Amino acid sequence: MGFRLKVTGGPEDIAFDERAIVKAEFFSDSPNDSNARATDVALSIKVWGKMLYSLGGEEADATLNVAKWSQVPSEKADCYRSAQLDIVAASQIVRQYTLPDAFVMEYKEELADETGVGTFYLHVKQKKDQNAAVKLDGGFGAE
Amino acid sequence: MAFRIKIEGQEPFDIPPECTKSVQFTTEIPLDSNARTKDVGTGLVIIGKILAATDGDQDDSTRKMALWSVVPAEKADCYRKVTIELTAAGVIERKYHFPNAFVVDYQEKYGDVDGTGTFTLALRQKKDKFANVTVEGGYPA
Repeated sequence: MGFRLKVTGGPEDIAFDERAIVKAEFFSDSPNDSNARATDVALSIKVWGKMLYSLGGEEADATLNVAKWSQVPSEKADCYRSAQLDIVAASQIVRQYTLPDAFVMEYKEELADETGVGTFYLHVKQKKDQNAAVKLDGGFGAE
Repeated sequence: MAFRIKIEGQEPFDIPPECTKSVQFTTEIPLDSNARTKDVGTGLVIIGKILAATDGDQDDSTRKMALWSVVPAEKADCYRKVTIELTAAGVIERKYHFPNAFVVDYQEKYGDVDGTGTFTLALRQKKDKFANVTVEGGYPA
């Protein structure tokens, strides 16, 4: 089971593949005490992964661009970007989550001198008034 | 022990028994009430596996839960009929029927050490329709 994350709409595209991502979660969250279906639904994705520094600087360091994205002020248009997460298993896209107006809720990097690589945690959420634009696909073939 | 879960709405679907791992049924009553309350809610939590299709099988219906969880409150389709049957040794031990269930939370989790994903679906019955919930059991399947 592999995970691929693609973020577009910023100055540089961000892409992670199964080498980097170790854990992924999708949430559709509404108030737990509501008596009937609520309008207040939060749609978000959480991703945990390894910071793979590129050998010889051959590839763009995706985590660096995520760190920069997490610092973009809300006045700028590119604080909202399109995030697409694919869950791939047995030549199938089991799920493809597309959040076209995602913003960063949480971003954390952990670096230590013991492990060879650092780890990151990214939590993005769809802008709530644009929830209808979220796409949840899956069940089609992948290479 | 096996669960048969049926969800009926605009597009009815079943959650296959090989997906469902556990089901919780709760009756929610305010803990600070001094006498029997009118404010009773009831809910279900279903936890199961997200399986990838192999050998050209159809993919499992778990994605339809994800789609249900994003149906806005303005649409009638956000309320669906949910029936859960727990069969053990030829006996239907429990049958929960929630005729106006809505999604409170839905979550899908994946890790690189598990071969499958995990979903958690939390449902509640629309509170004013509480009386329509039925819990039965103890008859042959």
